[in-house]
Amino acid sequence: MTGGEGPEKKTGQPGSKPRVWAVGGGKGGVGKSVITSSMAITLARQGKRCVLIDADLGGANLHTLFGMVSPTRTLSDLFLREAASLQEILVPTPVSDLWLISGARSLVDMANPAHAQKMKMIRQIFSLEVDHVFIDLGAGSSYNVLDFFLAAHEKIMVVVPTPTSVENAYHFLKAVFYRKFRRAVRRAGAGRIVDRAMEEKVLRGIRSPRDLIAQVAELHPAAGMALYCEMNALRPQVLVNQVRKHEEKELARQMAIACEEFFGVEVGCLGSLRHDDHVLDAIQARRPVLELYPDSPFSIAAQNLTQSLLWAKESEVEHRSLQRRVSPAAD
Amino acid sequence: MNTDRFREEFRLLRIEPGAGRLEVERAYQKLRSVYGGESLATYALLDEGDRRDRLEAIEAAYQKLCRELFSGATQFLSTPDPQPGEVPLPANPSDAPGAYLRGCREKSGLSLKELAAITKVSPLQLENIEREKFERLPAPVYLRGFILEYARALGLPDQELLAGVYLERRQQKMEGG
Repeated sequence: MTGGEGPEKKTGQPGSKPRVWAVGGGKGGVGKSVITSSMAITLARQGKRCVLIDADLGGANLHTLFGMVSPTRTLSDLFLREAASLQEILVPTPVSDLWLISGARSLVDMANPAHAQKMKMIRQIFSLEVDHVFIDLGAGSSYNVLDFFLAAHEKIMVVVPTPTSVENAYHFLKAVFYRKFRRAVRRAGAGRIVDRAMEEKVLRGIRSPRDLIAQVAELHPAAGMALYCEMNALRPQVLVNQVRKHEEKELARQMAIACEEFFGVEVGCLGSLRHDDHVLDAIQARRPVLELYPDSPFSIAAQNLTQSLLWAKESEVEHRSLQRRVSPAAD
Repeated sequence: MNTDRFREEFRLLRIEPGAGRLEVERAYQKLRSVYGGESLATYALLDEGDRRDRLEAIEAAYQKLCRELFSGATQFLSTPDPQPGEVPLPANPSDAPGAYLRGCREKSGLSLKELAAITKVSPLQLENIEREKFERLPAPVYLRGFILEYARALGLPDQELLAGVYLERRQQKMEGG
């Protein structure tokens, strides 16, 4: 197999757009990379063409999980204009139908890509001729990380049941929320109304974004509605990883409730994945856990999770098209 | 049941107005686990004062519903002529679903045989259900049907939830020993 064999060779439906999944969560070491790659492998095994992007700019290591040598073509090439497009830096992985785009080689190469470069890259992600793109986000809440997360269709936040991880996750989610909120306010032309509500913050009892949106709606119903709708489309989803105790299994649901009540928008709950030593063993062997230990609890749970996310999406689409078909004849 | 008065309380508990006692109980427990002092789920999201205020509001809503909406045994049953205060409250369905079912059956005046005739579940199995003899009861998928039949025959509220609680209880017990 030659290294240059790219997914374009088997493009089925030209012009079809990939579904983009971003996995973030603020803290390092919570299992983002293993989860992202496991999801990608699950779908690649079903014959869906998948690309895995290691967006941990400066700390790229996804290739190691596959036992690959550090790719020579990376995102650095894109930023340094040595490669014109993402398509050119795709590297095949040992898993068929799965390609890798490796993160930048060093922090110096990458530092902070200019906004225009980042936006160009996001546009390219959405026009890759594949079925799914998985973005493994780096730790932290820098604008780069936030913008990739915000652009994705599926926004998954990985947390482990520790105060430090939860704290980072909320820091991340607040940063995501406010970045989108500022854009939404601008788009709804609601800047003055938001300012007015915030000037009377104490008087109006505004203690959370949810209160703020409610107060904006009171001052100006149309602006409030526009804000709510745009923010509600954010729909982040919480996944708790490395669960050891029974009561920790509830954490994802509890966080989803707390977030919904705080931000005032829907937050999904993806449940939890149990701690599984097979994961660490597989990392040490530099093989994907899905390949080395296909029957391990983690492998089974990760595949089920991916499948149920896909089905949820498909049934949503089906439901919508069904509604469209039914509604004209409804009365 | 006039639930309009309690709209705000139901909203705070994140359930539909008119939900039954069991659902209120479950919602309250769930939110307490979210906003309790030990909870990870609000850590670094809410400051301590906001968390405590929220917990108190939930507590107050729950207490008010219990006091004003579920006072006495009448809410558990749809029997025609309940005499509030005369019969002790049936057991809390979350803690002892079997005893709760039995309490409801006895209150309705049905014998095990009579209930068996309605539900088509044998009196022996009904008794096993009430005594929570899980090892003598069928697999969850069938047991669930039994509980639903039982609850339906007595016209109990929150039938689906009740079946869920019962199966959870079974799982706890079977795992524990």
